[in-house]
Amino acid sequence: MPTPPMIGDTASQRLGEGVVLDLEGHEVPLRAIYQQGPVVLVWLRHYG
Amino acid sequence: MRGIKNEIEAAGARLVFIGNGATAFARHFRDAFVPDCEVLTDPSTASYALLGARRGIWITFTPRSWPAILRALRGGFGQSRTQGHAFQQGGVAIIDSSGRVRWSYVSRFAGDNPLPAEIVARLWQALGKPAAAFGYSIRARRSE
Repeated sequence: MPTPPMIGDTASQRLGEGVVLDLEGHEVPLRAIYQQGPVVLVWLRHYG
Repeated sequence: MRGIKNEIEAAGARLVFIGNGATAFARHFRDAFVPDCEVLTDPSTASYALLGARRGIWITFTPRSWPAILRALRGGFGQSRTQGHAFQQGGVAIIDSSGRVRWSYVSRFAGDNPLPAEIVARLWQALGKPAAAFGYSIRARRSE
């Protein structure tokens, strides 16, 4: 079941579990990204 | 967005981009536009769903997106061949080390992005630091 959308000031919400890929195609859990410290994540529309 | 990388790092955070095309597209994007930034990709767009990102042809080409498209074209940022999901919108989120979402912005249509200065201000705020002391103010763009 998808996590409810996060909109605006959502201090009580957490980013759900997910996996993305690095540039070599290896899976990177989202958890591994933010556990290194605070992060500004930018989801792009597309690369073009 | 890359222009605020130094400010983000000065605040003690990292700037990470997530796209939605193949890894080859992501590599090209990094090399061409953000060579000093971390770039990841999510062809499944599952992480976009976690953000609550919008998707659809009508929200992509709504008349509300036209001014942003014109600004981009005038600035020399015309879109080339789409590399990723054509009708997927994006967004921005500030996540702390526990996974808590401290702030997020979901793009409502193509070209709807938070101001870079707002992102920096929100970051300082999220980290409990006085953003105003660094010359940033927070604008409420959601009421537009």
